[in-house]
Amino acid sequence: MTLKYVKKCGDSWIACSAQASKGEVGLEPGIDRRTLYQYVFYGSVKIAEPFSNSSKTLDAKNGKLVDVKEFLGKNVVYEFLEDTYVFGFNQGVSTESDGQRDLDGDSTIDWSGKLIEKNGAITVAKKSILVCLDGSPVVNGKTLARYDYDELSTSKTYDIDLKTDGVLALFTQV
Amino acid sequence: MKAIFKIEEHLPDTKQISVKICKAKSHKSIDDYTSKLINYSDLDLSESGLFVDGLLARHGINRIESQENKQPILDSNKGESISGPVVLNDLVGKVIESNTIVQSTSLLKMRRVEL
Repeated sequence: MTLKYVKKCGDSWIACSAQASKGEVGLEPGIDRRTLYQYVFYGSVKIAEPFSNSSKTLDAKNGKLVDVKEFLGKNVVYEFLEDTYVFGFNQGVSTESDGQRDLDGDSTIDWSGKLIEKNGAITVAKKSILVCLDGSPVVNGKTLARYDYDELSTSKTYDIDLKTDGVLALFTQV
Repeated sequence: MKAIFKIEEHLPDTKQISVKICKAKSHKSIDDYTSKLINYSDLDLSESGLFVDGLLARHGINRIESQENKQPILDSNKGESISGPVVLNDLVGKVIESNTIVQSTSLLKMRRVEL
């Protein structure tokens, strides 16, 4: 059974993750397919739009943040090719006061994502989210753990030390 | 539903643990349930949450369902299935039976840290 986790972080973005065993398959309807970037901690997963020739295999070999915007809003099928653990950064959804999804209010804002590759100071010019994906990096003197995050201020500078194993992803609104 | 488990033994050579599992609200002590060997090589040991969720998803649900199925049903709880259009007035006073839908998504434990 695939373990699925979701956290709505305000109206502008959603974090999700899935952990699955080799061979597990699933599908995601287009209405819920809001993933912009995925990061594979370990394993590999193949995703495709049904009845098309388009497919993509995400794997952990390169430890890269993968742009999966080509599947945005499309029905997708996926198959875990190995035991896999994957994180996703998604466009936000809007909910009404009773908690029901407000499809008309869903965010259509695009984000660009990248992994921070070196130590040093960074600033941001637009709304940005910094997410710790692995290790124990230090930002402005604070040691982070997996799934710690913050919305960065355009008026601050952030001193980053990845230490030996830190993985930080920076997502900025386009 | 909350479930509980108790590891009775760890066998690192074979990557197995002997585990007792039951519902937290069971009227029997967990010690009175049978311990079974499970292989933990398919479980993620890097994080406690993933380990616990994986163990219960892959090994707990079936076992708890089996425990439930062995329990007798009170006569007053014996239900019937229904089909077709819903006529609420016809259902008043009847015990209706169905399987519950298991929620398949959990909360991802993101933590906002002011940097």
